[in-house]
Amino acid sequence: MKIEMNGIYKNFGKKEVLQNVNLSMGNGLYGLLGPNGAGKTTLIRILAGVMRSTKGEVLIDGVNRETCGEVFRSKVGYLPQDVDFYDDFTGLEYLQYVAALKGLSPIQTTEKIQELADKVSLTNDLSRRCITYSGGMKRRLGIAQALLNDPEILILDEPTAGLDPHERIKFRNIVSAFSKDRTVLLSTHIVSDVDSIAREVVMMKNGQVGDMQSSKHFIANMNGKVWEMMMDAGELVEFQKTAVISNVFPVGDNVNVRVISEQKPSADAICKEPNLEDAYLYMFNYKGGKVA
Amino acid sequence: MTLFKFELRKLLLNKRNAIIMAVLLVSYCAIGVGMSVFSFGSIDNYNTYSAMANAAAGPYNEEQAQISNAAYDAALDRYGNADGIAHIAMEDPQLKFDVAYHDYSTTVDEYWNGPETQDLANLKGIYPIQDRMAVLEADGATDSYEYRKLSNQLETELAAGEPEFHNVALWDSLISTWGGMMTSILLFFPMSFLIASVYTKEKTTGMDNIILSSKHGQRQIVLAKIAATAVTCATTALAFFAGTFAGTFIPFGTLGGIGLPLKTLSSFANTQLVMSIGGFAALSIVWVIFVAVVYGIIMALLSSKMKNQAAVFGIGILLLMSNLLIESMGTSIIALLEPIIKFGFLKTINVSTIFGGVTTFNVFGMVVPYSIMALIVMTVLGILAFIGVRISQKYRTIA
Repeated sequence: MKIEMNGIYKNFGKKEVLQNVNLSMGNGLYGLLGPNGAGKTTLIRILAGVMRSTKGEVLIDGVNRETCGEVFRSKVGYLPQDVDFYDDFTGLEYLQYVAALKGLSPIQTTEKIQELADKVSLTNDLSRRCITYSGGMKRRLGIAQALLNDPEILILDEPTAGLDPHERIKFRNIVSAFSKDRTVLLSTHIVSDVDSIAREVVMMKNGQVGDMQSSKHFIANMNGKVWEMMMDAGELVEFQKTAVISNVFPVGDNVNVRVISEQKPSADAICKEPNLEDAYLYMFNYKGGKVA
Repeated sequence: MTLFKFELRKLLLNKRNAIIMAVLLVSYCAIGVGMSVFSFGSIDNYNTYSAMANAAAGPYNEEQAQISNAAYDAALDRYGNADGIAHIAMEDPQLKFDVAYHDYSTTVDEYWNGPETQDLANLKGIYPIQDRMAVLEADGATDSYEYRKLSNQLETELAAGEPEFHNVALWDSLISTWGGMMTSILLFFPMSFLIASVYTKEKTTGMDNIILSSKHGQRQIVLAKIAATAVTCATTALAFFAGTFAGTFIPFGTLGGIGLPLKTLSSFANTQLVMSIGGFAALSIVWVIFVAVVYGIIMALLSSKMKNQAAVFGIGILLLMSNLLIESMGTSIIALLEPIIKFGFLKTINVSTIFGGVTTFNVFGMVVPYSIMALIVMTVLGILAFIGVRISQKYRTIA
């Protein structure tokens, strides 16, 4: 399956939230990285078909998504960023309801719910009311509902928010295995969610997307731009106002600072192997913890 | 069917709404008891009244009419007006009986001679109708809409015959509880609250995202939500009717008068419907459920267009009360908006207005009774609202 987003614009009143977004995706997992407010959720909603773009089109295997209607929707699994559940429903009822929305037969519904509840570790909690679920459990329930119809296109918006480290690893494994012969778009601002599993990553900033590239490509571009250097805490306070810092760890009375810079930041700075997080910070030019 | 089951679970079959429904049922029962018991002051008073009314039951009795009219006039001199008499009659079964027989004698008089003030468009009384028909015949207008209407009316009135007096005070009390304003406040207000969330809930929970992106999230969901809304409306209406019915009759342990003609009821003296009181009670239930379902579909349309339940509820109430608002405006506006007044919800849920009068409509020369016209208008409204919900869902987006 091939998904193309061509010349997508989205305005809310006078505010231009998306500007000329062009993306192309085949099978595999794609990461959409960007800070909060970059326009990721808007883009995701347009792809999922729950929001209309001001301009541009979404093509599914060359056919405009608008004309696909039910056929497109039957192939989609979508986990929105902000979703709450019906207080009176149990986890099981909730999944049965979404299964009915997705047109699953009763037998399919039972089988898929058992399978997915096991995968997201909710088997023993399905009979509890959703209102009693913790944030992490609600997120896992959300992930399960998105996978109910075995979707060909899986769209996940900040799926790991609220999950503990163990649950995040488990989630990554589920999604990674699932993406082999399907298209998965995972939107996040947590680089480690997509670092090791994404076939390609696209970075988004101020409503615009960059090129869709593999993680390796982004990392390769960072060669010679990641440094480590020692300084004392007083120096760090001043230094971080102007530099992009990806990590700080204490060594004795001083701190070892990992810096992203095109030039060697100091004479004693040592060049280091870059990672995707460095590329992300470089792209968004985080200075003093804020996007520049 | 599965979707419908879950939509009903969200709208009605949940703990909160089950409690609301139980509270409503008990309240309706209490209101029924209040309307009947307190109109007689006590069960003993009712029994005394019943004995007198049953003894006088049957065709018009001139002697009894003279006695009751004299008692009524004396009470009028003493207590000032009908409201004052009604208040005193609560504790005085004899006076209550005299008032009832006085009202009945007025009904008999109006059956033959029509009311003191006639509405020329809706003439009442055998003699005035016959007189007007004679004029039309002399003018050679026997093929006119007016002649056909009067002819039908005369035939129905003569077939029904002169009204008889019977002990139907409890049925009068029940039909009064089922009046337009009472029904709108007691039934439609809480019903509006229950169904206002049919779509807004999806917005507040964010479930709209999942619904709109799923296979059945545009077409089948509409059917499921409308069906769930209709069942919720019907259930609330049934609770209203069952509660008020039980509350009215259980304290007295009698359904006396159930088989009598509808015309026996004071507010249905002019009705063109030929059926029993019991049959009419059943018709009223079916009719109000039908109107409630139409109203429910319109509320679903409002809910699909708005973001919060309170706003939907407010506009729903405004819609319900539109008749009152328009009727309080100037006469030129009233004339302009006559159809809205005639077929506004406050009128259409009032069974006495729809089924109790002689109002008809000239539709391409055909004489169409108010009830049939209201049925047509409500059906069209319901269908339009359903199409509106369907279109609204098709083009609905998150923002």
